[in-house]
Amino acid sequence: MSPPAPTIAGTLWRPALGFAALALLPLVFREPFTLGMVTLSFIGAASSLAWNLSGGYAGQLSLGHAAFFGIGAYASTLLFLKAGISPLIGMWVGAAISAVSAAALGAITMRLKGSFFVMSTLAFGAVVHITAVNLRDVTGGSSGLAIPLQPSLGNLVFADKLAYAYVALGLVAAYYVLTRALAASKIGYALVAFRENDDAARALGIRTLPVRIGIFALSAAMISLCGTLHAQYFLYIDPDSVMSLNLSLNLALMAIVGGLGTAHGPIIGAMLVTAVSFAMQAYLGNQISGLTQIAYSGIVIAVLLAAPAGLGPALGRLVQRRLAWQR
Amino acid sequence: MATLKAEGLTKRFGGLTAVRDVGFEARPGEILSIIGPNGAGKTTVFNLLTGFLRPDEGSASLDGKPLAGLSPEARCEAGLVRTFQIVQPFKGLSVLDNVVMGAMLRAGSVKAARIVAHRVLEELDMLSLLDTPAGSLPIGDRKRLEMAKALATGPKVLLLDEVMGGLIPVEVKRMIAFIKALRDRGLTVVVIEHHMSAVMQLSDQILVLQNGQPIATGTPAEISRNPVVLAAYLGPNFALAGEAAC
Repeated sequence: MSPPAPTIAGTLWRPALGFAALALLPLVFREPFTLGMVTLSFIGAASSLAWNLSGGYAGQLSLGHAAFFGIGAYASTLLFLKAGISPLIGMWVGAAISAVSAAALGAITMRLKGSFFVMSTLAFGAVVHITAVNLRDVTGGSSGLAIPLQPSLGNLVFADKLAYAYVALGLVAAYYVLTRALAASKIGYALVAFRENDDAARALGIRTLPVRIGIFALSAAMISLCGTLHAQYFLYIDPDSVMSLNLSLNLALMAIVGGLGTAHGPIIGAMLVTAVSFAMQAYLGNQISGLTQIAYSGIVIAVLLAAPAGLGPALGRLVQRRLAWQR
Repeated sequence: MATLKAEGLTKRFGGLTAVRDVGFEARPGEILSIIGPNGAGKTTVFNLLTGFLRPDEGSASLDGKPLAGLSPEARCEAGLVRTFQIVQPFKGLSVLDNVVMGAMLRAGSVKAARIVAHRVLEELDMLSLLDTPAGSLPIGDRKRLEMAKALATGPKVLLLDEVMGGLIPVEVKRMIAFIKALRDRGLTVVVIEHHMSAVMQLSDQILVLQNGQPIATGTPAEISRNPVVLAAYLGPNFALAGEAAC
């Protein structure tokens, strides 16, 4: 849980190895179904990394991040459909809208402690979701919006689905590096100080509020980009798929299962959660309704019982023990 | 180097007046002790001074500049830092990272803060504990860590809330020497302490509180002979016991 040691360079080979392995996945799993699973797990990993900056490092559990994901998806899609603006530009507009709304929300709600903050994010997510459903003239309401299949880099639409996997992986890598850099900086220390002991942080002169608001805004902007990518991948969005509470819960779950407040945790968590949910759909999908969810919950509970700090730290300890044993 | 001054500090919690009309002046290079029975309002005074509580009446100033309205963070920046009686470590972090948190206030980077933290931990003889998780330290080390975190902020005024509590005699002796060295460096030190032998050895001035009210001030020699204090807190045999201990 502690911020990384100063010798970051000394431990670089491990993440490099990890990302090399991730880069092979789309090539190994080329079938459309499995490639979809890999791509979605990458988008999930990037989203969960974004969530983890605020939810993991600062310990401020947000259950409203799907709103920012949705804002990203809708901003780029609407700008493209109504004004012909490339999603490559639209995604930044979405990120800016998300950042500003997150900063405004955070400025009000980050003075709240613990569960009160969680409730406020829950409410925010619900309000944005309901608004998207009801603004039918703009968003198409529940029937959603379709993006025409016109493959080109400018449209951020690719004929070969493999491209999406690598764009998503690029985002994961960028967010991972950003997370590592922030965690080792004064900003990361301030976030952890707040999470570990707010009063002690204040007594030591650490002003956490502006840092937490800034990180919340950054996190919202980052997840907003993931929303755009999601829209471009499916070429279809509706409020339930990009703004639902379920999505917010999943983002939190990926980080919690993988290891809160670690840079690699959300990636591991996203791979596992996505793989399990795909496997459940494939093998149990059409048998008894609800069985998928039950089995899914069971697996999540089992993981958290076995490794309360998350799979990432647990694996780390396992590797360490192996190395020590070999010596 | 700074003078901490309090005037007429009063704090009420509902019908209970926890602190009433407390005033003192702590000067650079001096150790002021605040003593009194449990519940006398000593820690509340620290909370008022550091901005964790707002006084109902009265004020505090640092080098003549009023502290009213400043947050705990801002007061720490101004050079006023405290330790907590119930120690408040960042439990999940290493001893080094705990102290880095304090050093960040005046260091430009985490790297610079680590250097400061190292130096402070060396002074407190804690270098062997650098990587130990703070949550697993025994109480004596936790008290020293509390002190290290506070010192790492580069304070002018140090408020120590029962740093002797739970220490074994040899640790108390070292802590006394250390606090005296800080005073000799020009720091203004205010201590809340129940360890009377330590108080008598350390203090330049003593302020005695009872039920939130000041009942006496003076030098250790004066306080240990003050009949009001003996009746309220120290007990009638204190002077004799004190002499025997020396």
